[in-house]
Amino acid sequence: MAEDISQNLAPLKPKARFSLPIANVAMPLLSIVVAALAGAVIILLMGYDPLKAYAALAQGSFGNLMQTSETVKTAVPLLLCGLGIAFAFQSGAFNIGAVGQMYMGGLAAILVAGQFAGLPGWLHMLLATLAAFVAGGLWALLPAFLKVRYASNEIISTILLNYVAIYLVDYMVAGPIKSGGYGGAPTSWPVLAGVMYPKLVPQTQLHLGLIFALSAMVILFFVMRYTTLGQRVRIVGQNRVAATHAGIRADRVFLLAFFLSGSLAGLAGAAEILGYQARLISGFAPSTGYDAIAVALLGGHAPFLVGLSALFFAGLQTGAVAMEAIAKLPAQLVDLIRVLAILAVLAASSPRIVEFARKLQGEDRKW
Amino acid sequence: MNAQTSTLRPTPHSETGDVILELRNIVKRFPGIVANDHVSLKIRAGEVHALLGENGAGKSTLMKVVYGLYQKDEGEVLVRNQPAHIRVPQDAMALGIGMVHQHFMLVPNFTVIENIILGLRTDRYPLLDLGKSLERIKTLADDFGLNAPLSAKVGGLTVGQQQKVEIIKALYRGARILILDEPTAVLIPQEAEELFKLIEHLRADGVTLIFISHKLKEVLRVSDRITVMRRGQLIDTRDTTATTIVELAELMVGKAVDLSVAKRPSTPGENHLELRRVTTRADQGVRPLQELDLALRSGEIHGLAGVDGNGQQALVQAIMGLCPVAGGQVIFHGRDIRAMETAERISRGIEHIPENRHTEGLVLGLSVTDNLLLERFEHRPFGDRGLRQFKIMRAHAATLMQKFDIRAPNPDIQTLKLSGGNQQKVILARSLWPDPTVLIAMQPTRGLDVGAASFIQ
Repeated sequence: MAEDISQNLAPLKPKARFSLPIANVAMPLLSIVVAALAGAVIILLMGYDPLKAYAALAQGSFGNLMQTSETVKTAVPLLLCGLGIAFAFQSGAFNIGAVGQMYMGGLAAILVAGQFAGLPGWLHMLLATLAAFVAGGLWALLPAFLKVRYASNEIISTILLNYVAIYLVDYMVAGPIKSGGYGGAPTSWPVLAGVMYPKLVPQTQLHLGLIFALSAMVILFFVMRYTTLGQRVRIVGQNRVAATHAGIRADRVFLLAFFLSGSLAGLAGAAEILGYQARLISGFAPSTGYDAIAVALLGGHAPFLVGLSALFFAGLQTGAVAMEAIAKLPAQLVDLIRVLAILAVLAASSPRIVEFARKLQGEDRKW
Repeated sequence: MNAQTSTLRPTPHSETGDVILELRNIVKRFPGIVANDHVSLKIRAGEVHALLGENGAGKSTLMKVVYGLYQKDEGEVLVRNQPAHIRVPQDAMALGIGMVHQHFMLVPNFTVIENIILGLRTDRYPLLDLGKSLERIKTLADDFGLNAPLSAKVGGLTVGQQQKVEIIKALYRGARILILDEPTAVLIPQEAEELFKLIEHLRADGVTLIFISHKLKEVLRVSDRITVMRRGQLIDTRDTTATTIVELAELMVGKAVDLSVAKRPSTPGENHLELRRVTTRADQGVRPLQELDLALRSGEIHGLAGVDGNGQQALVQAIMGLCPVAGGQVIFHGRDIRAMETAERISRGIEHIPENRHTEGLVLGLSVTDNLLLERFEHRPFGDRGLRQFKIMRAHAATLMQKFDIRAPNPDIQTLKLSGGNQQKVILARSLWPDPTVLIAMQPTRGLDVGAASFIQ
């Protein structure tokens, strides 16, 4: 905290620019450290070596090209959903429905990608992606409309719609779009040849979806930072009444933000299906949409930080396998660390701690 | 408390003239502020004692200490020359102290009688004894002219009647010292007149009254003695007959005040904005307009008086297009603008200063620049083809800050960090610089010091 004290010594310097990193970077990092320490204590208590465990975790997630590409691939849907949640949050609402929006995106993608043989591959791919984008958006628009029109709580309606989407996918793969072949888990018809996203690097899992996700990240940053649309979303998110009084059609802005939020999750669904799963399987991404909430939170809803945060959570996921294999630790321990990190982030974003951090920065002066 | 021991007892000894309530060096601190700074005060039995001061002078805080809603940090409270330990309002009530708050503490869905006996024990505890209570309450209600059936739901009564219910409630609980916190703030003039009569009546019955107010005229009208507070300190106590309105104003503000407002005679011109038989729907507690006619001419200041909640909000909403107009016409420069979006009304020169700057006027988390351009950030030159022009916005904000004397270190600072007065100036600057044709100002001087208020005038 040495730099905070030195800042206090020069209180006349405007430091609005410096306040952002402290809140958005330092606190998440601190919460990761706290979670890692707490995790280490638990690993110790269980009779394992925490250093070995963490080394294996790092090895498994970013140890070599293969592992790293696996991590990045896992990060793609997390990033897309996380960006969507962050964007909805900027407009003043919690979108807990990324799971359902992603499922609807996946469903729309397979409906288009598994049909219409004869279309040129690139066009077919584009149409399937677009279908996923629109389907995810519409699925998010429903709870947004309910909120605008009937003031229903979007947290509850988005969660409930997750189940509707999950069961709809279950129904579809068990019936209307069931694949003819083998038994086992019900799966849909396959993506037609030539419609799958091309690989970016041969021999890896990196596919076109990564480009979509990174573009979305940059575009979102640009929109929120430099455009009047971003400012409109921000104003509505922070004070809807004042926005209305200033002549902004707050409901419309909110609906648009929620549509785009769902679209990004829908895109994540397309990335999963067209990126590497190649067919729609019942329960194809059961937790991605929920993990993405933590991704958005840890990233403090800032696009580039959401990117880092997606990489972190993806690393935990891929590293868990290696930890189990190398350090002989139960993979559930990684889940534990992940949850501890989320809890630490939540604690760090609590008003009381934010207030405390502000005080350390000497920012509570009134003018 | 037993209901039988309450109501207006004949006084066992003459209380008049003796000190019934004494405060010695009361100190009450809140984080960052001393609300009561060594306040000593003697209230005589049977008098009407006014506590006068500006908003935030510490009047209500002092009385909340007496009533047990706040705990004092230092000092002593004596009731009938006995040290009193008042920790909760029940302690105060047991000592015969009652308080009627500015915001009534009544249950709207309960009847008058249910509200009055709420929380009291009867001889038939745990059962109610409505029959016995009824008689006593009826006597009080008739005595004080509560023109409402005791079985009526309180929510359906007028504000004036509700206030009487509160007073009767306090008396029924045995109050001999009654604190009235800004009792006229919510009343229309006729109701206030009735209240003053009721205060006379109570004084005649030997009740001691403490009357908190910041209105000079009514204080002079009803009180026997007046204590003036300023910034947490007790300035002086005067006999009402030996003081004047000018003297009180000076004591209150701490400097000589010119109470008259200099105004140039205006030369009203053509009609700019006209409301014809405008009716709005009742919506979320906002009282609707019913066939309102109003014409605003150029160059005139049209004052709208009325107690809060009598349609001012709906009027602003109708003019700004924030709510649908159910009937009638809103005519601006000869054209019915009922269907026009708020944004377009603003760009055509109808500006407004919202009533509540925090909820309606400002986005506190955003910068001063953003708030100064809240209505126009998308217009050229501040927004160009969807892109925000930061340099132009910032320069514009800096100019407005200088012109309107908004005190902040730079235009990038969060509006949240400005004082209330400076926040209000941000709204003023925002709505005045485009040189609007019509400006609707809801309580525009709220939270401004006298200097800033005169700037608006």
